[in-house]
Parts: sequence; structure tokens; C-alpha cells
Amino acid sequence: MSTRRWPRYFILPLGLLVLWQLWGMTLPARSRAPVPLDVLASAVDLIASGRLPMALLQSLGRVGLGFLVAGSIALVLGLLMGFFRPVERNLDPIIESFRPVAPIALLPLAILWLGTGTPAAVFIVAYAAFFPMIVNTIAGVKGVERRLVQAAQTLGVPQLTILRTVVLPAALPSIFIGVRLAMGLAWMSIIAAELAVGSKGGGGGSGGVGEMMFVFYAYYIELDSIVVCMIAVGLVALAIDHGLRWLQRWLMPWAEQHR
Amino acid sequence: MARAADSGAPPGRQWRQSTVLLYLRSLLALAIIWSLIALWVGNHVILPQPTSVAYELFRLIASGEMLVHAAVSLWRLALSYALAALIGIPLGLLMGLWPWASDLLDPVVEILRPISGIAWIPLALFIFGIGNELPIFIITYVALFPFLLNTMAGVRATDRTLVRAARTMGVDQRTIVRHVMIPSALPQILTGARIAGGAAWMSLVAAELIGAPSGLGFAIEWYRQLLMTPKVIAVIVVISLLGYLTDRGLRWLQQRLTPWSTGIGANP
Amino acid sequence: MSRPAPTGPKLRLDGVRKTFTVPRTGTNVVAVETADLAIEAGEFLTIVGPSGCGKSTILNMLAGLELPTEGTVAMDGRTITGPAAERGMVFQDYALFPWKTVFENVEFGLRYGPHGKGLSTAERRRRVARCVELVGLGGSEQKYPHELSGGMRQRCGIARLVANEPDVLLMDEPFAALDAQTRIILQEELLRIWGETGNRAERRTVVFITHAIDEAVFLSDRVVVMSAHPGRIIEILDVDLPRPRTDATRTRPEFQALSQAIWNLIRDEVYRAATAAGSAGGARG
Repeated sequence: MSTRRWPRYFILPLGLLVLWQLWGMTLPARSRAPVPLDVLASAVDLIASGRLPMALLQSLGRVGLGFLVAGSIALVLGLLMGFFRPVERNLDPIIESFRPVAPIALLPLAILWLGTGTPAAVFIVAYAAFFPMIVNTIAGVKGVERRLVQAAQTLGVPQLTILRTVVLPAALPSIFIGVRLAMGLAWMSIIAAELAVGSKGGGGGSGGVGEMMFVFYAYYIELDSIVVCMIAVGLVALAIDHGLRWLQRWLMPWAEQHR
Repeated sequence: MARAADSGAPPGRQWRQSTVLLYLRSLLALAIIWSLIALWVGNHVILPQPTSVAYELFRLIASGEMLVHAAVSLWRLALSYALAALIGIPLGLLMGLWPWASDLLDPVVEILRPISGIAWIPLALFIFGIGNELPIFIITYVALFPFLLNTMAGVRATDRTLVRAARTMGVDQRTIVRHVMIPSALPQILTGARIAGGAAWMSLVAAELIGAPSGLGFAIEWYRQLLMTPKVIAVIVVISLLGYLTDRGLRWLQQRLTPWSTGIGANP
Repeated sequence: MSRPAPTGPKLRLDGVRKTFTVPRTGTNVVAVETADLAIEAGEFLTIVGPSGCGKSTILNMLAGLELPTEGTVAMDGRTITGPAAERGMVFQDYALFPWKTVFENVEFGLRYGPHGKGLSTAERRRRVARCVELVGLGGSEQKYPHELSGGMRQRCGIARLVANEPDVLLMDEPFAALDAQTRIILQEELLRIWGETGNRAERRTVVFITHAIDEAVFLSDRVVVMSAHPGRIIEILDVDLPRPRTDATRTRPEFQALSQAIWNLIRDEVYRAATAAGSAGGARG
């Protein structure tokens, strides 16, 4: 059954690709419009020269750093806020008032405070990753079955140990939803941050795949290379999400039945 | 408001009052901390006092400047949002109802989806130049996927017993789509609408910041270059407030349009 | 095993009243109306009653998970102010940690609670293995709860309780979710684990909640009968059936007579509750 449906999957993507190539061949030779075969050639070039992998690694490093900072703060804060009511009542208004601030909107401030290098980009990533993490951690902690906490209590386990041994693992599936959302958002924000730093930072070589795209646009007008970068950005996003899903299954074999 | 007071529900009102008080208290604490840090920093450009931000906010609103920026941004947002809904919902219905449609379109959607709207900005800059078209294209692109995917998933998740129940009453396919499948998918479509709203705001700011000659995103960057930090923060406040209000509005719409599904997402 | 020489009862409820405030409407609901009860050390006591009679509330107060609105709940003469390892509990829905294996679940109290302090890892493991064996779960140590049947899950719950060696065993309708056959088997096993055949002085105190009358009569030394709206104790009956109890116990005329007597006490209320169900929307007691 599925083998009969296979050809259909390819009709549209392949058809569009062929049309795109045909359209490209009608253009005058000096046109800069990207065409599939040229994109392929420039992909080979960018990968072989190591420029694209380096830029991706730099961006990923920033995402990792920002996520680590935001994630650890959000995890601790979220556990405390979800478990102890007074903590939540006092901190929730502050978090709720910062939540609607779009991370990109903070970029001008970040540049003002931290310059156009890595710190500003990491700041934006951390800000973007913080909110999905904390919101889902709090929701996860609040959704922990009360019976499980009570079971630990009647075994005489102290509160802080319960937080670590019962509440944290029980909230883990929800925390992981937060991690996946946060990483998606972080990857998106790093591209935006690097792009904007590239365009507004006055040519400071901050690096990263976002800046690379901007340089291709602004200085070289190599649209083929821009398309290669776009595809790379998409592939990395996919890889991040699949990696996290795999990690989730590996970390939480018991949660299999809940999904 | 008046109705709540008339019906006289003391616990509910008390609760609301105490939350508001708590909220104000926390914000006041935040403002004081901010003010102290600003005093310590002692540089008006790097971190201005909250009071001067409030003053600039007032001046920007009073002079009508803020209104102009906000109007441009909101107009772009509304136009692209409507475009995304007009493309995304019918396409989602099509893909949810007919397997051949989803077989055809799904690969394209799955190829494009991981490429965030922001990654399109350089290419779009080249195609459209700096102007209205760039943010409109980016926002439409970003808002399209939540609409499309949630509509599709909602239609597919329609309870089969409901469809069978309608069939046994001798109802034809058109009516089933219209009166069973669409209403049953509506809560999820509206969830998609809210996700689309949030994503749209975020990319609006990014797109305007980089590639528009007007609008709120442009304003932040403009005032930063002039080193008018109080105005930068004032615009950020307005962006956040509008973003928050948009989400509230969509949430309100969700409750109005699907009152039967309030129990699903509203677990305490 | 050395225990403080008890001068009074093991557990004591003194003029205990418990009211709840309904969140939305703000009205007060009486869950338990002035209850007095003394539970002796080594006694197997069962509380029966219809839904909403407050029997679970009483158990939760004994565990320290809830505190009385008025009156005191005490153990060995000391007022109970919160949950502690001396009073372990088995739950109707098992409350096993889904991310831990059977072995790790049984080990949990000893590993993280006060009763495991001073035990070496090897000693702890040995004790856990013994308890897993005791409840008949040998061979399933490395399984996760979702891989077990309901009966096996509750065996695991009981092992987790026993491993922690509490003074008092609190059981909240532990067999209510099981099928009839599994239930009968587990009732007999519970009595064996409790030490029915052994020395009377070695037995722990058990407070067992159920809505099944035959289960209450079969297991206990005394049965407390409660009625609902408001929840209060209406009768305390002695069960003078010989131990150890077996299948034959269920066919004895005293067993039948006692079951009938308890049924007569709560029948009217059960019928009333059954016909009024839905309109009352009663919270489970």
C-alpha cells in the first residue's frame, strides 16, 4: 500500500525543482537568480572549503551556550515555582510581564550593552529559550500526580529530596516539551540575531551562519549561497528536533506508554 | 466588569483583587531594582531610569509618533495574518480530508517548515527590497504553517463515531464536512491561530528591524542608532503590550467561538 | 523488635472534625463529624462505608497528609502533624513511580527516607530483595510498573510499604481496582505478610479502608462502620473469627451474619446515594 503511494510523494517537490531549473535556464546569463544546479555547485564549494560547517558550528555553539544558561536557570526556578506556592505568587507577575517581549526586539539593547560579538547573540538566545523552558517546567511540576508525592511523604522522605527524586522525574516529559520548543526558538533567534548584527553592527565580523547569509546578500550578492545556507539552517533545525526526540526516548523509557 | 459586580461573587472578586495587588507589588519591586541598577550604572544611554522611559513613552504617544509606527506594524500584521489564514485553512482542510492532497503537498510542507521565516530574510531582501513586501512575505510565511498543520490535524482527529453517527442519520458528505468535521476541528484551528499570532509578532519585529523603512521594529533600531535608549525601551514596551493584547484577543476569540471546549486546555 | 511500651492505644482520634471549603462557591462541607476512635497496637482495623463517608479522610489524617479542623489525631500519645515513615501507606491507584523499576520502587523509602539510614547498600539491597520475594514478585525486579498487571502493581505497592518497616500500615482501598479473583488471593497474602500465623506481639497495626463488606470482615479484628453526609462513625463491631483465616472462613455462619449486619447498617444510605447519584455529584470520601 505504502509502496504505491511513494511516487506521489515525489511528484510535487521534483516537479517544482525541474520547473525552477527550466525557468533559470530562460534567464539571461548575467542574472543572479539562484538555480538548482548552481545551488548544488555552491553547496559543494561551501562545504568542501569548510566555510559552511564552521559557520554552523559557531552558531550552534552560541545556541548551546545560551540554552545552557537559560535552561539551568529556568529549570531551578521552574521547579521551585511549581512546587512552592509563595515563590510562584511573587515571581509569576515578573515572568509574565517579560514573556511577551519578543527576543529580537531586545537586540538593539543587547548590542548597546554587550557589543556586536558572541555575548549579544548568546543573550538573545538565552532570552528566547528561557520562557518555553520555565513555563513548561512549572506546568510539569503542577501536573505531577499528587499521589506520588504523598507516597514519598508517607515513606518519610524529606521535601527537598522529594523535589529531586519524585517531582523532577515526573515533570520530565513536560520539561522536555519545553526543551524542544526552546531549542527551536533558540535556533531561530540566533539566525535573526546574527543577521541583524551583520546588517546593523557596521560590518563587525561576528561570524555564524546568519552573518554569513547577510554577507552573501550585502557584499557578494551570491544568491545561490544564500539558498544553500537556508537549506542548511532547515536541516540543522530538523537534526536538533530529531536528536532531542531520540534523547527523550532514551532518557524516559517508562514514558513510552503515555504517548 | 459590571456584571461580575452585580452577580456578587465575593470569592472570585477577592481573588482577582489580590492577584492585581500582588502583580503591582512585584512590578514595583522590579522598578525599584531597575532604578537602583540604573543609578549604579550611571549612564543614561546604557540604562536609563524607569521614569525617563515612562516620560519618553508618554511623549511618543502624545506626539502621535508611536501611533504612526504601531499603525503601520499592525496593518502589516493584520494583512499577512489574514493572508496566511486564507491560504492555510483551506489547504489544511484539503490535506486533512483527502489523502491524495496530503500525499502531494506534505513533502513540500515538510521541506519548507524547518526553514524559519527569518532565514528567508536575505533572499527576500533581494527579491522585494526594503519596504512593505518583505515583512508581509515573512509574516505570511511564518503564520501559514501553524494554520495549515493545525487545521489538518484537527480534521484528521475528528472522532470517527461522530462521522458514523451522522452517516447513520443519512446526512451527505458535504454536510458532514460542514457540520461535523469543521466544528470538531475548530478548537485546534484556533490553537493554530494563536500559535500563528505569536510567531507572526516575533518575525514582524525581526523583519522590520532588518528590512523595513517604518514600523515598530524599525523604530527600535532607529532610536538605537540615535542612542536614544529611553525611546528604544519605550518602543519595546509598546511592542510587548501589543503582542500581549493580540494573544489575549485571540484567546478571547477562542473562548467565544468554541465555548464547548473550555474544559480541554484549562486544567488548573 | 523493641518498641516503646505502649500505655495507651497505638493510634487515637479525639473529637476529630474535618471540613473543606469548596473552591468556587466558598461553602463549607463537613467530611468527618466528631469522630472518636482508639486503635490498639497489632490490631487489624477496617473502616467501611459508602462513598463520601469520610473514611479516606480519616486515613489521610492518620497518615498526616491532612490535618483535622478540630480535635487531635495522635500516635503513641504524640499528636500527628505531618507524614512520617512510621506510618506507611498503600494507595488504591498504586502510586508507583513510573520511572523506577519494581526493585527501585521498593527501595525508594530506604534509600531516600530516614528508615534506611545506617544501612549499608548491601544490607538495603538484601532487605529489598526479601520484600520483593515476600510479595511474590521475584523475577520481576527489573520491570517497570507499566509492564505489570494491576495485581502485581499492588504487590509492589505492598512491598514498598513493608520494606520501609513502618509501625502502622495504612491501606486506602488497596484492592478496589482489582478483579474479584486477584482480590481474594491478595487478601489472603496480605494476612500472611502481616504475620497472621506468627506471634501476636510481632504484628504491626493496620488500618484498612474498603467499601467491600466481605473484605472488611475477612481481614479484620474490628470493623468500623461509617455513614455519609456528614461522615460519622455509626458502629464498631468485633470480628471473632479464628485466625489464620482461609477460604473456609467465608462460609462460616458468623461470617455471613456479620456481613449481613453491616449491610443492614449502611443499606438505606447506599440505595439513597445510588438513586441520587449525579444530582449530588459527591466528592469521594
